Amino acid sequence: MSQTAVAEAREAPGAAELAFERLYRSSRDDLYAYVASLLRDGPAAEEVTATAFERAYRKRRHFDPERGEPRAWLFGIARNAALDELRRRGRQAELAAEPADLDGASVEAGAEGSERRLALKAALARLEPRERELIALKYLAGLGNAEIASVLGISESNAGTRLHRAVTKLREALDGSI
Amino acid sequence: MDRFDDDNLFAELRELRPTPRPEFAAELDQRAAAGFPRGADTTASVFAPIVDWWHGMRPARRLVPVLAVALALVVVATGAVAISQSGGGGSAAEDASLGMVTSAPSLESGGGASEAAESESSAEAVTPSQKSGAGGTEHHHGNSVGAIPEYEIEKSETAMPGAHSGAAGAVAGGEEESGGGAEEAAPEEEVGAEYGAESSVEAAPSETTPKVKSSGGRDIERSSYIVLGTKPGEVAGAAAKVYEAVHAANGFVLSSSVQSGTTGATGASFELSIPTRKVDDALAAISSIAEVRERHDATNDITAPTVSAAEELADSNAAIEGLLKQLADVETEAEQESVEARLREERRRHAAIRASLDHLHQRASMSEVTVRIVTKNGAGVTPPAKDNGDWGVGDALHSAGHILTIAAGVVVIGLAILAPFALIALLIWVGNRFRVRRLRERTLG
Repeated sequence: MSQTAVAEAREAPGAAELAFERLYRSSRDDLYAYVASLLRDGPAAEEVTATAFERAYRKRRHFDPERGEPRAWLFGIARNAALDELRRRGRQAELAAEPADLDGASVEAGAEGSERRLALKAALARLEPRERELIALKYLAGLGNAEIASVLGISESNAGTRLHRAVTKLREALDGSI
Repeated sequence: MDRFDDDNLFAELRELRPTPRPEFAAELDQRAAAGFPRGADTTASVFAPIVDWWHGMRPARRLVPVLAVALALVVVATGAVAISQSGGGGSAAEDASLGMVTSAPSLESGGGASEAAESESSAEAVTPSQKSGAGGTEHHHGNSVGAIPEYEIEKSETAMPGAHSGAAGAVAGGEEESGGGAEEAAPEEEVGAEYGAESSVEAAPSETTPKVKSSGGRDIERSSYIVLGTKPGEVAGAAAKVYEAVHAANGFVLSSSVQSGTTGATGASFELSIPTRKVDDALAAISSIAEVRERHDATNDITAPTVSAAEELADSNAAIEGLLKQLADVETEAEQESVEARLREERRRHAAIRASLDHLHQRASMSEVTVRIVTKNGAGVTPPAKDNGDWGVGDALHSAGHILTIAAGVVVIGLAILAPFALIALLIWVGNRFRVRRLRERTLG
């Protein structure tokens, strides 16, 4: 959804509903993937995802397109909700080292494929939580660097640098495991 | 196991991506179609509906409730201030808007023979004149002073021989002079007649000849000034009630002016003289006629001049008595003329002292009350020099300016009170946001 569409949505209530519908359709699975990666808890991820959409819906007229993309705005809301959930639980945030377990997807693509994925999970587990979050935002949720920067409240170049470091560490961890 | 290249790595990460359960996805789709009814967000406060309503409005429309609430607060506060001002025993601002003159009457503290003679000569019949004006009638009453009652003299003079009761009126010095022959023939009778007049006054009902003293035996002169506010069409009725109150108190109207009607300058003013013993009742009755906009009460202790005049009168009586004895014992015609001349002079002095004493007693026994009835159509019958009494554009602008001044004051005071609280609330809000943000980041750290 473009900024122009959201700006139009702010002017007309009916258009706002339509714009939010588009945002929901394009972001539902990505948002769940990101939240599930943060929480590592399927039911909690579902609850937080629903809460994030609800809050975003209530604040849909409050969105300022000049401050970022709608997806970045939505992921920012979800991030706050997920971190609040983590705080309530008193748990240390950990990125999903084994995200495939969340949906119960079986890993039966062959012995070599299973081995590679296990190695990837182990490498992800060795990353810092912030680095795992960057990986999740980039490769699980599919956000661009500008959107990641907006979600994390940092500059785009800083987001790119951090992401590059995270990928490098992940690769080093994989090389070490191989 | 082969080494990960970039494409493989990203593809493998994609393969690890969690996907929502189909049941959850379907349920979320339903909620999205229903507009996300409240439920999932358990952290929402009880004020969430209000917040939703607020966020649902366009920024320009948010000014409407804000301005409405602010305006309502200003109106309520202004009304409260205006009511508190008007209820505080007379508002200077309101008086100014009505064009009222609020000067209190001056009190006469002195007393003398000339004043006494003036008051005694003011017994005139009531001859009201009526004058029709545009939109109303005007009644002017001249000095409608009734007969000035005689007052007792605080001295026992019963030792004088030959006193005859009922010989009233033989007091004036002119009569004494014109009646010189009779005086010579029967001096004792004349003196007796004079004092007989005094005794007849003593026999009069005390209500008409009050000897008013305070609890401490003092002679106190009282005066009051009342401004009543009423509607233009009710001036005549209010004026009639003033007359009734005066008559009920056995007082009298010294002067009055009534301008009644429904248009133009309307109002009334009265100069009243009311027995001091009943002045409180009279003032209460007058105050109940209409809204009291203003009231002044003043007292003046005149005991000293009264006592002094009474002592002088006693001395004069003694002197006359002595001269009469001398007159009875004279042997030569020259000696007789000399005594008679001294006697006439002493009687003139005696009359003057007595008039002064009467006037002092009258001041103590009768209270001066000034009553003004004002309306919004005018400032009664005594409009200020700069105002013709009509409610015009200038008055409206003046009142509007007054109200705006109060409103501005209320706003300034309100801001002065609210600003510190708003600043504290803002600091708390900013600090809380900063704290929450740090806590969230620490969660990941």
